[in-house]
Amino acid sequence: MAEIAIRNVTKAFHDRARSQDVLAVDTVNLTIADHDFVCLLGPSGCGKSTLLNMIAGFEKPSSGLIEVAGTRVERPCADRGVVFQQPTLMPWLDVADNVPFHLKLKGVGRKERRERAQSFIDLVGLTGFERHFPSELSGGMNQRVGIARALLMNPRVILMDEPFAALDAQTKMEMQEELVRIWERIRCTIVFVSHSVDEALVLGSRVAVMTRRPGRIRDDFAFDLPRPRDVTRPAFNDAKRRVLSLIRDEATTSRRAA
Amino acid sequence: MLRPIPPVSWIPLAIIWFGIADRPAIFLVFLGAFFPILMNTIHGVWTIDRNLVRAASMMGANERQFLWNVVVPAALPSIFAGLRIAIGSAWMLTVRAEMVAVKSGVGYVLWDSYYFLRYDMVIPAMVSIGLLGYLSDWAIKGLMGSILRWQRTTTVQGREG
Ligand SMILES: Nc1ncnc2c1ncn2[C@@H]1O[C@H](COP(=O)(O)OP(=O)(O)O)[C@@H](O)[C@H]1O
Ligand SMILES: [Mg+2]
Repeated sequence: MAEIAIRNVTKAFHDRARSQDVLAVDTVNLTIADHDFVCLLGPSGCGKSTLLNMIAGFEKPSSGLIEVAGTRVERPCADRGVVFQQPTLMPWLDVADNVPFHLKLKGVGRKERRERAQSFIDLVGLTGFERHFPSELSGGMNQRVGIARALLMNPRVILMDEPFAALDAQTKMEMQEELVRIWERIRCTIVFVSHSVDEALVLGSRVAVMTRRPGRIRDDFAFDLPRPRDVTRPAFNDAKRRVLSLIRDEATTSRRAA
Repeated sequence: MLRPIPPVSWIPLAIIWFGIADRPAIFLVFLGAFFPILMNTIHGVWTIDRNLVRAASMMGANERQFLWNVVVPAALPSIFAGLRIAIGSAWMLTVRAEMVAVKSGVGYVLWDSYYFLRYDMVIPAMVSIGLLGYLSDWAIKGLMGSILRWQRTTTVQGREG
């Protein structure tokens, strides 16, 4: 069954500086299956975040339709967890209160909240930092808190918008491996936005390559290299070559058009 | 519209309306404290990070929960900043009002001793005014520190202690 169906979705923004409408996403069609790990790959400014925000329900498509598990997306909902590019934790709550924030909204008592959060705090490797505030942790640790928060919601779908973009190479690699392990364990559907070809190919079970603005899906392929993925394997390099030539192709056509 | 009028200039009207007693002073203190708190609260609410709003709605917050679990705590630092300004200006206005419109209080004592040329009383009165002002500011600072605990590590103030 299709978990996420994106049908003819177009999004135009009004650009006030130039007083005209700007097309950010142009007739995107994409069907994402249950348990897929889809990487949306594209250059910055191509409309990846816009597309993700529409799946999350933060923004409405100008035209077209997005369905998650058969129901139309109208507004944000706890069945779609979001991990933001900048970790958006509540600065006034410590880790042990930030992770189970949605349980607080549901009226679950503090003791039970903290208990249920603990296993997810352990899962992302933050045991011992329960009493720390976001300002007392590094960017990578905050990002882990954001991931634990999304996981604890136990959503059908997790949407991630370049969550590792601000991390150093070493931390990024560790987090990518950890995310894959988590996904293999809990088997939710993940839509992961990235501008890095390597990242998309390390993570995705499926890769959707977007064009420059206005964003369209240029190519979309399943990628089932066994995990953990070795970035030096020929099969990985073949896929990388394929994606890179796609991007290069597009760069020449858009230059010719310009 | 009322905000640009300095609260002290309300003294004559306050006396006309409320007579010579505590009530004009209370009215003035209210005027002096209300606007700093209001302006700072509005500022605090407008400058909430949009992504925090999105994060809360993604976790299923309804409007009321949103107000109490996001807007209020996010605006607290600004509200406290307003409160601190308000306490300072309230104290200034209290003394000012006591000099003119009230027949008691340190302001009254100060003005009275000046009037009767009791300069030996003027300095102690001034010192007590300063001391009381300092104490009220110290109290609000302490309260701020214990409630805004989460800000301690990122602010310059926090690094001191
Ligand atoms: N709120 C907005 N108002 C106007 N234009 C916007 C808005 N959000 C995004 N855009 C425009 O839409 C395009 C796509 O943005 P975005 O989805 O953030 O790109 P990406 O995430 O791929 O870097 C950009 O050109 C950007 O300027
Ligand atoms: Mg983006």
